[in-house]
Order: sequence, then C-alpha cells, then structure tokens
Amino acid sequence: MGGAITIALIAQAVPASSPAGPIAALLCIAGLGCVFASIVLLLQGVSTIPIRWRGFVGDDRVAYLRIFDAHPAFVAAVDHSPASAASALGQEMPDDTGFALQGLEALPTAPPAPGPGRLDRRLRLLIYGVGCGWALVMFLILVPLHVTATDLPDFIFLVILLAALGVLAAASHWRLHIGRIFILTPANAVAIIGCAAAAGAAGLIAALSAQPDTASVEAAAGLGSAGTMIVVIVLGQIIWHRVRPR
Amino acid sequence: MGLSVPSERRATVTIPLSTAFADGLPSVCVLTGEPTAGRWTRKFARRTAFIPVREQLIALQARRFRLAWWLLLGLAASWEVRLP
Repeated sequence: MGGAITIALIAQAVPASSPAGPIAALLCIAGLGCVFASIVLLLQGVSTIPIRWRGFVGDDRVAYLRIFDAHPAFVAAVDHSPASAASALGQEMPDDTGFALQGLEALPTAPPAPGPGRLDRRLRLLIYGVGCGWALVMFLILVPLHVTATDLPDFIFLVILLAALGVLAAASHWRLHIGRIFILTPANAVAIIGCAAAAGAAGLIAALSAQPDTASVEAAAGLGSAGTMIVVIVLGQIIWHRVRPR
Repeated sequence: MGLSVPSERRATVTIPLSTAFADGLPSVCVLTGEPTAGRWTRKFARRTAFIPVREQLIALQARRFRLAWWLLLGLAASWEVRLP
C-alpha cells in the first residue's frame, strides 16, 4: 500500500523534472495504473456482493422481495422452516419456480453480526468529513485563484474522484449499497447510454473547437474523459459479473 | 469474484419484505448455501433489510473498500504534492 502511494506520489511529479530521471515515464504509467485500480476497487468495494433482487408489491398489497439465483440450500432452509410450514395453509403466492413463502416473521435467527464500534464509526466519519471538506475548499477557493485553463480538467477530475469518496462515505455510514446500479435494467441502460453520449459530445466539442485553450473546452475535455472512464468501468463491471439484461 | 458457482440449478425465491426487515431469514448463505450468521445490510426504500451472505464476501468487500480508500487518498495527496 505504501509502495502504491509512493509510486503515485512520484508519478504525479512532472516527468521532465522528476528526480526519478529516466524511469519517470515508467513510474507515471504505474501511477496511472494506481489511479485506475483505485477507482475499480472503489466501485467493487461497494458493489460486488452479487445478489440480484427485486422488490415489488403483490396483488394482496404486501411488499415482497424476489431474490434471483438463490442457492437451493437457502431456498430449502426458508421453505422447510417451521414458520413456513405453519403458514402453508395460509395465503400463498407462487413465483416463477414454484416457491411460495409467506409468514416468516417468527423464524428463529442468529444474532446480527457485530458492527463497527462507536469510536471507529466516529473516526471514519471524521475522515470522510475532512475529505469532502477538502474537496469543497479546493473547488471553491483554490480553483478560481490558482487554476488556469490548462489545469482545469485535472481539478475537475480530482473533484469527481473526491465526490466519489463522498458517495462512499454516505454508503458506508448509512449502509447504502449501490451495487444494483450494475444490474443492467432498462433504466440503467438508458443512464449508461446517456453518459456515453454526453462524454462523446464533450470530447467532440473539445476536439473540434477552434480555440482549444479556453477554459470551457478544457472543462468539456475533462468531463468527457471522466464520463468515458465511468462508462468503461460500468460496462466492464457488467461484463465481469456476466449480468444478463432482464 | 471469490465465489464458486455450483452446477445446481439456481432458483428464484420470493419472500415477504417484512421478513428481511425483521432479520428473519435463516442463517444460510443465499449464494453458497453455507451456514452463516453474516448479514448483508441493504436499504430498501429507507428501511434496512438483512440478507444472509457469507462472511468472506463481507470481508472481501471491506478489504477492497479500504484499499480503494488508501489509493484514492494517495492520488489526492499526490495531486497537491510536487517533488522537488
């Protein structure tokens, strides 16, 4: 971990003036690898428990949860539980495979897994707060004062990354998992295509502009590259998990 | 992703959402069928639901979470720090 951060630190220096000298280019490539690995791991960290589910309301106006690709042992454990057997005489709602489970509220359960301690949670929240506050300060103060048109895409990229940290903070603190975004539902497909179109349009504007040094064009290029990267990662996740469109 | 996919035919199971809210599912991993006490906590419309998953999956997720954090913090620091 320390090595990765060190590589990223060295690689972010200007290669021409880097003390690493002739290996600066290699370090720069390694630093880019660290960047992309961190983003992919960030997404995987909040999205890779591969349970597919869908919530819906039945005809009896009761909310149900449909879990896809459940292991037969899990299905059997639910199906043969005493509460399920007791409710077998009651109302049933068959689904695609014939399983019908109702009235499981009285099932005996193991105690929940212990969560992080209070101090741990406070420390984590403090780190999140510092990170997000740093992003806000940098965006509101440093960018107008010191950032030129050339550096603007870099700062936009960095702010997007820190915004991802903010999403991660919210996901961790409020136990909000966003893994469902990688299930290719029609809404997600529209979002992905829209993001790809926006990224492509931004890149096209940047490429065809007659004044490539203006701030707006540089901002469009930065947003375009960030959007393209997001689309690539999302599509890669979908292919990796072999998620079938439904 | 750390999961061995068995050859058995997978099923689709429907349960009342209140069961998941009340942490009332049996302690069997929904993906592997192994006995487990682990819970995957997830939000369903502002309410917390519990789905049993293997502890290894939660540990894997937490490890990636921490790794991504360190890498992103290193990236953010490197953005500001310039070596002489």
